[in-house]
Amino acid sequence: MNRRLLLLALATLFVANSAMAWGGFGHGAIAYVAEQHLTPEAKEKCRYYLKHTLPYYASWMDHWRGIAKYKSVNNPHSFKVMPDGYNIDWGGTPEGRVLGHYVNAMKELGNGNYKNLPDSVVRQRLINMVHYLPDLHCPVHVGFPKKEFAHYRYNIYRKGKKIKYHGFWDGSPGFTRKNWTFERYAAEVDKVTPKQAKRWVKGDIDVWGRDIIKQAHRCYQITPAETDVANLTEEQKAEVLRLADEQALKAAYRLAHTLNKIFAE
Amino acid sequence: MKKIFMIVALVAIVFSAQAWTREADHGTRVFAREHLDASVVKEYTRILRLGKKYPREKVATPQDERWGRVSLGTDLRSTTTYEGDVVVQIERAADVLRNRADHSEKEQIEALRSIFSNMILLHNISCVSIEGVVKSKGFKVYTHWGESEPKFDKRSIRSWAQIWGRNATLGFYGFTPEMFAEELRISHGTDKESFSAGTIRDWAADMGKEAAAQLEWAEPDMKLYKMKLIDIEPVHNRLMAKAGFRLAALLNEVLK
Repeated sequence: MNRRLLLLALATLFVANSAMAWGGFGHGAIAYVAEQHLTPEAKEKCRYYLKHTLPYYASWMDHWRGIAKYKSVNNPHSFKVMPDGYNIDWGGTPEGRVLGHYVNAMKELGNGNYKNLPDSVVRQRLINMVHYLPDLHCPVHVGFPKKEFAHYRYNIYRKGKKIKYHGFWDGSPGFTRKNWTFERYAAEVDKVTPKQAKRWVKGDIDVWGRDIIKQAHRCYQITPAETDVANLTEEQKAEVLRLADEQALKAAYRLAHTLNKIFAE
Repeated sequence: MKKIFMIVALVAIVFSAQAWTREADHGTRVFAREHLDASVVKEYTRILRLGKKYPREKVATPQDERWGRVSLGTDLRSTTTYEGDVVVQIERAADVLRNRADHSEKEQIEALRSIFSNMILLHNISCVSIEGVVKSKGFKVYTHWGESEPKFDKRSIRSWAQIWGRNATLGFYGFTPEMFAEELRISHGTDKESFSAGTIRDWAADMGKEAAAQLEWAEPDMKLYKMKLIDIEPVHNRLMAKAGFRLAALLNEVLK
């Protein structure tokens, strides 16, 4: 029985995480934290339109990105950076398009405009938002230009075997946290003060984007070329989690802030 | 690595017979617990606690294809008295709990366990066999879940049971049973009365209609694209809610 469960768990883990930015755990945890910071009005409205919680749709766009119906929103769940390494490349489509989706969604839904839209449209915009805004905060979803940042392209390893750099950081919120639930993540990791939260949600998507880019540089310092993640020291593991948690929590608070703003009465 | 995954996946296919996921099964029970009458909660809890005193025992099931299934006639009604049928097992277990004063503690907890597991099976599309509908007993399909060019080879084979098992609970990745229950509350909280009405055999007939609707589009060896799972998702959620509400309704009746 235990062997059967172990094999099932392994298969589940592979299937569930193979295509997911942040990983299924990361996305679910971010959405769960975000939901704890929704106003009662926003929570009620989200549940009305989604007929589910935010965590339910956290990884939805990763599950369905390949099918024809969602081709229009299936572009790399990342964004491009200008050659200076600090500003968003808004003109850099298709990578820039995910940010464009956010901007358009805010125009469509904000200022009470959501009330003029069919429920199905609001629902789909919310589903996109719940996934894309967190995606943008993943350090490896920041697309540094290849020419100027060739030194950001290198190999890392696990027990001597080459692993995908992108995959490692996608799964970073769950790194060393075996069997954590979303609730546990919220309880143990979400220690953000009101002052800090206010600072994080200040500004617009451009301000957030520049902050995300600034933090993304850190991952290439924490796990430089040829790093074997199986040999990370405790301090290095803590560094990985510090960056992962900071970005995940920023994503959660900014998602909550966005939804609270959309559904403010 | 790919080879190891294939071996693991194939073994998983073999072993992941007819369950939803463990969290979904448990989540349905958590949901049902919310709808127990105050007057039966104490008795329910008492019997549940007997589980520690009387651990679950492995019982060999007969080699009979009807065992653990919901057998319905052409009119989608259940009239069977076969002891291994899910409906009959629920009815017998309900009888034990209704007349629990005449039964030992061990029999009571075994009856409760039987109701738990069989109510889940009752609401699993792949467990419903309809007379005259051969494919209702199970078949294989070729799936394409990815974004690459579909191959539809042996590795893409899934059973009808798998489609209604783990694949249907994709949206609940990482959920605890309590989170499952909350989802059902949000999506189907207003359906309590309509879902709970009727007898066990009425519920079986309702599942006959649900299964028949799904079997209309499904064919053995068909090519199943991922898009179809989006259509299945709300059906599966509805069935979990039905299972939860009906479990509560049954326990409210037998434990009063």
